[in-house]
Amino acid sequence: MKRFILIALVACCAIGTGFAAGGQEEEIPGKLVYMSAAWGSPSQELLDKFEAETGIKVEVTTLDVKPLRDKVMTAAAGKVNPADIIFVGIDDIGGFASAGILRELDRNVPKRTFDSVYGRQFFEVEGKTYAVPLYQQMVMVDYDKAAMAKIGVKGENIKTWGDFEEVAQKLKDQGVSEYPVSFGVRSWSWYLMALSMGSTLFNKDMEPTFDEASDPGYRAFTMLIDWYEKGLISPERVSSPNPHPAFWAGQAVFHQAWQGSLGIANNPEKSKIAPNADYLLLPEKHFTWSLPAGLGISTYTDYPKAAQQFIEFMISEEVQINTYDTQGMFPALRSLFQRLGNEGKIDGYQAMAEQAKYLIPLPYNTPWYAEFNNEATNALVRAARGEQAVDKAIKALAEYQRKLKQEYE
Amino acid sequence: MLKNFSKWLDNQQHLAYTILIPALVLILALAYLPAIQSFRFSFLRYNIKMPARIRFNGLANYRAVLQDPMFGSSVLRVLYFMLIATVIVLLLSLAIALVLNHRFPGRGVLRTLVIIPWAIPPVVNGHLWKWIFNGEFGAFNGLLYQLGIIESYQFWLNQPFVALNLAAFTFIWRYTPFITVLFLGVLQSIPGELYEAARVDGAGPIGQFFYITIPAMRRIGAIAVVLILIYGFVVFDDIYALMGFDESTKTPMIYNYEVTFEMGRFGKGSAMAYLIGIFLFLLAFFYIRMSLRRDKD
Repeated sequence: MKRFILIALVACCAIGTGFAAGGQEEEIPGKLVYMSAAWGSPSQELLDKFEAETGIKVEVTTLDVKPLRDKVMTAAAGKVNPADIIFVGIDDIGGFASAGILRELDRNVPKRTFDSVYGRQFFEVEGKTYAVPLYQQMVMVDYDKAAMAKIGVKGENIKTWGDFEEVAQKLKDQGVSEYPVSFGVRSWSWYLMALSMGSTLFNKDMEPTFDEASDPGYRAFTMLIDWYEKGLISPERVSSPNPHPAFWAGQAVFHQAWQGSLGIANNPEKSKIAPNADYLLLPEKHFTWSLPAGLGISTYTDYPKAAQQFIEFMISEEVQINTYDTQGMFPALRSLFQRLGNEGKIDGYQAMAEQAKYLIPLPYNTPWYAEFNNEATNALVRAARGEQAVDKAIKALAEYQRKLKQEYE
Repeated sequence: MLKNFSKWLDNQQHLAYTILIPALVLILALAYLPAIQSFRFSFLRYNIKMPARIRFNGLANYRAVLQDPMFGSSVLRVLYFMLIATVIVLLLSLAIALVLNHRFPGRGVLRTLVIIPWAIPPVVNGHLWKWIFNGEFGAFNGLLYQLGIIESYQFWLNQPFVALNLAAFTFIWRYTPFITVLFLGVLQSIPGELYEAARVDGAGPIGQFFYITIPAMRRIGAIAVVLILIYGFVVFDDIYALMGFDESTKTPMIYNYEVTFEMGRFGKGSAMAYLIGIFLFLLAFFYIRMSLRRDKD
């Protein structure tokens, strides 16, 4: 027994020394860890290819967005490395950058890399860039042409949100769809309607404007809850706000979607409504916002160069087209976007190009945006359940944002 | 040096301490250091999104938690949750244990089947029930509709009070097997002669149950109550998978997680964790006291 303990102690010391020595090296890593959302992960074949080319094995940890955020924030508090490369959803850029978990990339990533992709500006916080765009994701609305044809309406007939409601009501009344509008009872649906009605939600000083009854943001909030109460939106969209499956299953006619979503909606293997899905140019003022994602490098990684190499790989044509084909995520790579567009390989390219003229940013690069975004969803849920009157929910949300902003100033 | 150390190890006490060292180091590093660290955080104005502005602010975080209406409502919610979960788990477990204590064909298979819900990981359990209770295509609606109990599909999880009860149900479903096994162990330790003697004295099944079974189960029943209260208070994964951060099922644990990791407010979150910890400490104290008394008996 004694001998065993002695051997164990000596072995522990040896292993400890080995780890200590390993920590000092900054060469080609045996392994990189990439923490990603499911839709930001490349296929195993592509990862194997990267390993064959560079000798770097990449281990992908796939998480839902919230657990990913929590892990990154916990690591930031502990000042440890959550992963070498971090998937950065636009909702998180402000929080991650403020928490100091992401490296500033302006000096480390070549300008040509940033120039090769769309959307660098979305990942800038106080003038510094913290992620390289991975995909573009303008928020759009899809509709089912075949279902609309049953009531003799075309997408281009919808010019206002009033028209939209009228058509949805007709679809419901005529039994085409029980719940024709698949919009989650969550912030995104509200932003979508508010922006396209012409609201910016906040003024230049980031003070809320949506709590004034004359602001279209106020009208959008009220209208969304009204649709829910009229049964145009399924009550299930409160507890399961993901709007996509109901549309792909042919249960809904309109769908809060994203740029590139037709890749899935018109794929007969993945969607029952294929090939009848099309984009709808957003009604009224047409404005929308973007939900892109990027790749950041952890402040605490020992391998920033290898991480950068992996990011370059992720925005290469091969990986970008794979992400578009498998996940419907629109390529951030400019050359690929143009080539696919010219070759007519992007379903709904014209509508997408038209919609892209009406893009305005939400304040995601502020430290308070993620909290505001969560509270906006809570406010909508409370109003939908009748726990709070719509006007009170809007006023309370505006007050919440003012306090948040004040706290972070 | 190794020789001296070897000699030092000849002492049994030294040997025992040496063997304990790795476990102690791990426990210290993984449990106590983070606990001490978060205790320190609880006195700081610490928002992870403002790392440059961390500063000492005394008991302000504790005051903020106690004055937070969301925390208050989450405590009331979990008290209700614990109450119904405790009552139903105890009654169900006792009933199942009594059945399984009898000899009948297939008893072994049934005992194995009963334990399955306990073996399912909590997150899987939550997702499983989320699918079953889905208002558009859930199996629960399908069943009720086929039986003619409902005329149209219901959106169960959209009704706050129903959702809270369904969350409690998922907990009951998962923890009943565990308590059943505890009860079954005690039931099997009651000597058959006691029941035999009671029967000779004219006691019927009800009399035997109240005068033999219940007194024998009293101690394990008390332990079970404390265990369910603790598990009920700290339940997280099942409810999170079922409802996320929905306010209708937000317990103090879920709210604590949201404040700390979603909002990045490590100061307030740590204070909340310590307030929750005090309550759990009291429950654990009763549990340990009862366990020790049981060992003594």
